[in-house]
Amino acid sequence: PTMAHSKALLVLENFIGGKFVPCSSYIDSYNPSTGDVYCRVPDSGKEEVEAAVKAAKDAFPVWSSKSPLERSQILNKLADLIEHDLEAFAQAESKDQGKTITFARTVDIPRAVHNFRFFATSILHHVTECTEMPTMGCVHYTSRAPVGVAGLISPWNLPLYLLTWKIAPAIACGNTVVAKPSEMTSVTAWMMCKLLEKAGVPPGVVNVVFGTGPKAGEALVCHPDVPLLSFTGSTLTAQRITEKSAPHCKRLSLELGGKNPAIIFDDADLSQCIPTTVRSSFANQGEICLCTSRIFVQRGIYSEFLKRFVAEAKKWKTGNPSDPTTDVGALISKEHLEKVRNYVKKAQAEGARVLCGEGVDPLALPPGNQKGYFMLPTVIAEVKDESCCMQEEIFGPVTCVVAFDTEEEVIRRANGVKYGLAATVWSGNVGRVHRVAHRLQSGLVWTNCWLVRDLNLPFGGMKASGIGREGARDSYEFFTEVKTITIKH
Amino acid sequence: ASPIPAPNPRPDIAYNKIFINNEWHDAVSKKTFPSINPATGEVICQVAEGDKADVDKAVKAAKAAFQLGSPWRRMDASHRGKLLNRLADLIERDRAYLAALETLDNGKPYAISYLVDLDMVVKCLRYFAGWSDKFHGKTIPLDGDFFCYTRHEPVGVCGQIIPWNFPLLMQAWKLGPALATGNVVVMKVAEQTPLSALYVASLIKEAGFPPGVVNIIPGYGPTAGAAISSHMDVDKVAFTGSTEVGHLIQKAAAESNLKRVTLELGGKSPNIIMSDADMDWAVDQAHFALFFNQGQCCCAGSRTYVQEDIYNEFVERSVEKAKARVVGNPFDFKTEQGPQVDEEQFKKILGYISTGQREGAKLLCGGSPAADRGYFIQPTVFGDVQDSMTIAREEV
Repeated sequence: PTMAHSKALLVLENFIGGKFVPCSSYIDSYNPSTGDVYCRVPDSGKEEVEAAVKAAKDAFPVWSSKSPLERSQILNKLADLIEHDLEAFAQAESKDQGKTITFARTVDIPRAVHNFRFFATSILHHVTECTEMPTMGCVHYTSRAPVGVAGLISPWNLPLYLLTWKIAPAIACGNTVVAKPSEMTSVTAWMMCKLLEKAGVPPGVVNVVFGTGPKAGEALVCHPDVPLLSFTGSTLTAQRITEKSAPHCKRLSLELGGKNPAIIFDDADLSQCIPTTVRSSFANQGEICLCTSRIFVQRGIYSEFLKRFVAEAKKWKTGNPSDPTTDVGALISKEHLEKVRNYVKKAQAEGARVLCGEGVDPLALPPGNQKGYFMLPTVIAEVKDESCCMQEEIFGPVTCVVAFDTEEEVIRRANGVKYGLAATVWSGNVGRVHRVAHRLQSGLVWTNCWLVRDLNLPFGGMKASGIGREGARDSYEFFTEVKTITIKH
Repeated sequence: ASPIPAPNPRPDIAYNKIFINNEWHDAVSKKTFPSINPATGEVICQVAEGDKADVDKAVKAAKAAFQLGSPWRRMDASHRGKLLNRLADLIERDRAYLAALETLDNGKPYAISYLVDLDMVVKCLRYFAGWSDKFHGKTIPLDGDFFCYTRHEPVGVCGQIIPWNFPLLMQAWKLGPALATGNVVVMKVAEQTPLSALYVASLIKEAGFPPGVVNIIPGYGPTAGAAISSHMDVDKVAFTGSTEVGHLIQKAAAESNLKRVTLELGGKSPNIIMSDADMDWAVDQAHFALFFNQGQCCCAGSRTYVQEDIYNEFVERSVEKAKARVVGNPFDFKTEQGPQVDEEQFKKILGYISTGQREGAKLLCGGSPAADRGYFIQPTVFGDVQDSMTIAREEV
């Protein structure tokens, strides 16, 4: 590649009313594995959001009156088109986000495709309800209808995966959307826009406005004609969204952070538990809301677990994301890498032991990646429950391992954080796994596994991890308005 | 809407044998039977005649495909949906050919085969494809520290016996839900109309269903059909056809292994027209309710009750409409009504017509064959029918 070629920046444009529209100002977007600016993302504000909402409103009457089958066929077509270009999307996602090409190829893009196919078919199978009052000669039934324009704000960790997880049900149900992806990872969203016309999505049904949370996101949140908001991101931003949207009483679905515990009893099958818990700690550089960041190990197996766990973690290879054998890619940004490293420093200052990774093992990077945002998978032991490392979401390849004695105690400690998203429980005793699962304050409980997703069932968190749930039924209910109709006959 | 492609009224018949384990077999007895073109009375081709021995082979293949650990049992539910969608794609690809084959074997107008039958077949398969990973169990709160949940598991070998009035559609209605839920199938297609279902068998193989998951046997009711209903290794039998045969199937199921039975049988559906009905629409719909598919629908509106004060006008308009119905070559786009499916139906219907006249019903139009060859019958309307008359009580 020539110098000129490598200096050429990818310039994205907003997608409004079925057309690509340039913006008056742009934000730099970085390749996390090299630290170079390679892309310019529109820095949209009120004006762009206004145009997008208007396009979405105009497109609503026709889109909402199509039959579920017609919309289904379009969603299936879009899924096929993305699948056809799977490799290009995976490469783009890996370059934009820093994740490994393997993760993008096997998780991100296939899930994005599946999101469209799943909702394309699930909307064909919902039935509503009916009751009868024969003595009054009345029949009651419910009817569901699309709401209007949905505002969708998606994060930078699983960009296309989480964006499509919102777009698919929103438009399947007949709504039109204005989406604002993260300004740090906008490329795959833009690539998807290029396929919309071919898939048969009418202009204005899906609009994508690129930009920052405070500018573009806030304009969307405050817009009076956007009655629904689905947001995935930080608890802090969610608080602001709730405050700003409150005057309009908007319907909110918030998928926020987690401080997810893994609870490992002494009868756990360690040959399964250890590789899975290494994966649940470090997959996608630990940048998944569902990642394990507090590992509670029953005292009887604590030393053995720690030894084997650290040995497995050290096998994970950190390096150039485009190498298919790399396990750990780059973190999203310089600021985020600093933030994650600071947690490790704080733990050390508090007297915890860093057993592998940051500051302990050498990190060797290929020449082209020296300025990338890399760090090694890091395991910390002997951290106190009150430490910020055990209370706050780190969202990086750092996990803490502590010992526990009894079931009562570990349930109390696992629940002792403000979050409640996902927990894993490892034990061979069926009574115990059910008992513990029932008592954990967690929206998702995986026993003897991690991240096995059934899209049919509710997904979401308790406490500060969010409001609402998403899934076949739950997303359908969020993205439609229900009416109860009584007919006296 | 795009125009209907012109039909080939002499489609090649590629598949006329028994389909077991994704392979084509002659009957164990080597016997064959003719499939007749009802528009002409001529033989289209010979078809392998399945009997008990062939049913035994098919059930054995289905059982093997259903073994725990087999490719079909290990397949993700969503992948079963993908295969059903692929089958729908292939049927869409060969839509014109299948419509022509359906018309040749059954006699229904080609325009209807193409626009209605094939359209509904594809929709049905896609509907059940989506369903395959969406049927849920339940958790039930029991007293005490117990965890209780329900699972929906496939029944096993499903015997499916389908009729001749909507050959492809009846095949899709039975295959769709059975395959979506992970069962294996031994299907006996009607001896009057085996050809389109056998072509679909070749598409089932092309779509990638594992061998033994779907097995299709052309043959007769008393032999192949009876063998399925009384087979000790068939877990469920689903039958669509006459009430008379329905009784036999229920009996055979009970006397063999108490297999589950579902029966979709005959009808004599009343169509009730009140005096405040929209007259034009009522006449139109009542006409369609009976005459659609040459009157060969289990849900046909075959007894039309008209409120006294609009009776005369309604009857006059209905007779006029019946007389205007175009009967002819089903491959002609102007034809609205093709022949009845076979000689047996043809004679039976003419028999009912003469019984109707004998018992005193008033023949207002039609009543005779509509052509010199083939099994065409004129659209026929009887008035002043009493509830006790044979034609008001039995399915014509």
